[in-house]
Amino acid sequence: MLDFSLTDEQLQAAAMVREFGAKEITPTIKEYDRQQTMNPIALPRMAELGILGINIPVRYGGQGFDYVTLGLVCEELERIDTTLRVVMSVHMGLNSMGVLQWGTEEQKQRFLAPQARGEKYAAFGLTEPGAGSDVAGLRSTARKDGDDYIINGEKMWISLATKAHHVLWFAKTDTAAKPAHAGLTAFMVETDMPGVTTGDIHGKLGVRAGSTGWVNCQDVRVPAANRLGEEGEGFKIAMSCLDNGRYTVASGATGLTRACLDASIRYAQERETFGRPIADYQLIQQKIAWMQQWYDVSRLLYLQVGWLKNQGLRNTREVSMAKWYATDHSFKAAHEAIQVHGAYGFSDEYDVERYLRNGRGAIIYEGTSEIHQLMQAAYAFGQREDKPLRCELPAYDEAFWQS
Amino acid sequence: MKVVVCTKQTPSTTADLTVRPDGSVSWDDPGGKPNVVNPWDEYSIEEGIRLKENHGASDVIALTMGGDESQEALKTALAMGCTEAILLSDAAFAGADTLGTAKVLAAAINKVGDVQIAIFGKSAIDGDTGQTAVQTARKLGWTPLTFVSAITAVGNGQITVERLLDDGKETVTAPLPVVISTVKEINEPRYPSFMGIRKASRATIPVWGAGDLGVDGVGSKVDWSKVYALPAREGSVEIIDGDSVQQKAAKLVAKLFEEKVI
Repeated sequence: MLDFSLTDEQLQAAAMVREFGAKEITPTIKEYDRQQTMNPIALPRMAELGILGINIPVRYGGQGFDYVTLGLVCEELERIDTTLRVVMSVHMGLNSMGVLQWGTEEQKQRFLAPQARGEKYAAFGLTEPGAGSDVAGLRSTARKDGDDYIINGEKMWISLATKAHHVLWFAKTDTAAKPAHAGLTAFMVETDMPGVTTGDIHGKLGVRAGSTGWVNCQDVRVPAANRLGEEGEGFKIAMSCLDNGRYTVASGATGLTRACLDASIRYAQERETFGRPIADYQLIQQKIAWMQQWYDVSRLLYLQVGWLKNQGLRNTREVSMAKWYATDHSFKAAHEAIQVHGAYGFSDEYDVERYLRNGRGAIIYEGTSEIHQLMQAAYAFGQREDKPLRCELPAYDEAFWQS
Repeated sequence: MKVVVCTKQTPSTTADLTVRPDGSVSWDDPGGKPNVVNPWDEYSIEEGIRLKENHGASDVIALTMGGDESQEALKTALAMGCTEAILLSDAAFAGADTLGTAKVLAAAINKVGDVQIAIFGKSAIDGDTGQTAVQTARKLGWTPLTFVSAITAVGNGQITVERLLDDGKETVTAPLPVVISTVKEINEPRYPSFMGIRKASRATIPVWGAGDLGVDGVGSKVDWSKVYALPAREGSVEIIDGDSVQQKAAKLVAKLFEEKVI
């Protein structure tokens, strides 16, 4: 059976998010991008409208929609501005879905429910100043002390660093473990705990209307009840969270490609050279055709992942492919869109230069394109196998989600 | 107290009216946008929901007259927060003018029963007559309150509203039941909620026909003998050059005299 149709509910949810973005974010996005600050209404409005809990079961404070809808919503958000989708990547993909997958019932009530209701914002603390792709090389430590852990370390390039209430923090509980990644453990650090400090990073190439920063833990006492999963399970948890975060990045990048395509179609029909709209010229048509192709392929790839998640099927390879393809091509689309716009595309009078800057980061975060190429090759050569996890992301079960 | 919101499915705001060679009318959107809830009705739907939230209305029922496709407008109303929706549809209603529509709406409002307030948008963006609200009030024998920009009090069998008129605002109190038409200053319509979207997409919308309502003679008294698109406006732009602002202004004034504009 092969069914490419989307339900009325999925389409209407996406349309609502599109309307919110167009009305409340688009009119001022250039201002905030220039000022390098986040629109102060973005997070509270996303919370209020339920976007921050879109695919979390109603019983855990969410809206009870499926994983496909999460992808459609991310596409619409990044169609408006990448910074909105980034919120969903960290708050939903990397953190909330991690708690849905690995959390105890008590943790779901204590962390997931307020996050899904948008009362608490959530971030993901994996990357460090000296450890990005080399996850096992992170330096952060968590030392057992009675019923608590004492966490020390610094996380860098953390989206929502200064906004989040909860940071899913990865630290070494066993610094001598071999292999090193077996010594990693995950904790929910609450940013009002004594010893937690945060700050913003300015001067980024893109996502300038977003919040990106650092989080530091200095002897932060975290109760064992805040440990997600078992000691030593941190690496598996981090990788499974990335399977979800990458889904939001892939679907978001698809929206960025669509933004480039829409802007280019509009401009090509308006702008005239040599007495004709530039849309009449074949080299412009070729760029439009490429963008359409990249959009179609990106969308098919992420929707396939959404379907796999709905079925409860492992999708590490597929989501890696979707993320790699969609982000690489959203950047290419922005490059071509600027070319369609000519000199105007080089100015921030038009949106396409922002699309280019915003699209660049996603080729680095949540697995660089190079990492994804290595993964794909490893799968192709049969060197990589996804073993079942102790806790899998639950399949979408309408009855469970909506009751 | 029940509140009824009368709404209509209309073409999108960017749709173009074109007349085909056979004289029939097309309202297609060049960007392929689907039909929408009449944009003025978003305010009346919002106000209906607020009457439930703030003034103790028990039900907010959306009504529309139209074909099956009009269910979409009703689903939007449900997704925003209306408690119920009813489609008024019958082959006998086809081609109704505003008076015919008012007859059907009035019959439906009576059938719903216990309705104290019926709310309309100020007009529909397609026909743009703004007549249906007052005609419905006439058919019901209720007080019409048009161009309402605020409902300030409801209770003790009466309602107090502000009307936004060309010369200012007017505060009016009238006994219930009333028919209200709203202007956009009245509120900021909400988006459909996710929960509302789910409820709406699963709702089975009842359909009431001429037999259910006991109405006949709905057909149009108006004959659309010929429909034609407005001729495209023609004009050109001329940039007035000059060495100084004064010189440009002098040239502009001379030009305006020459064209007999002033």
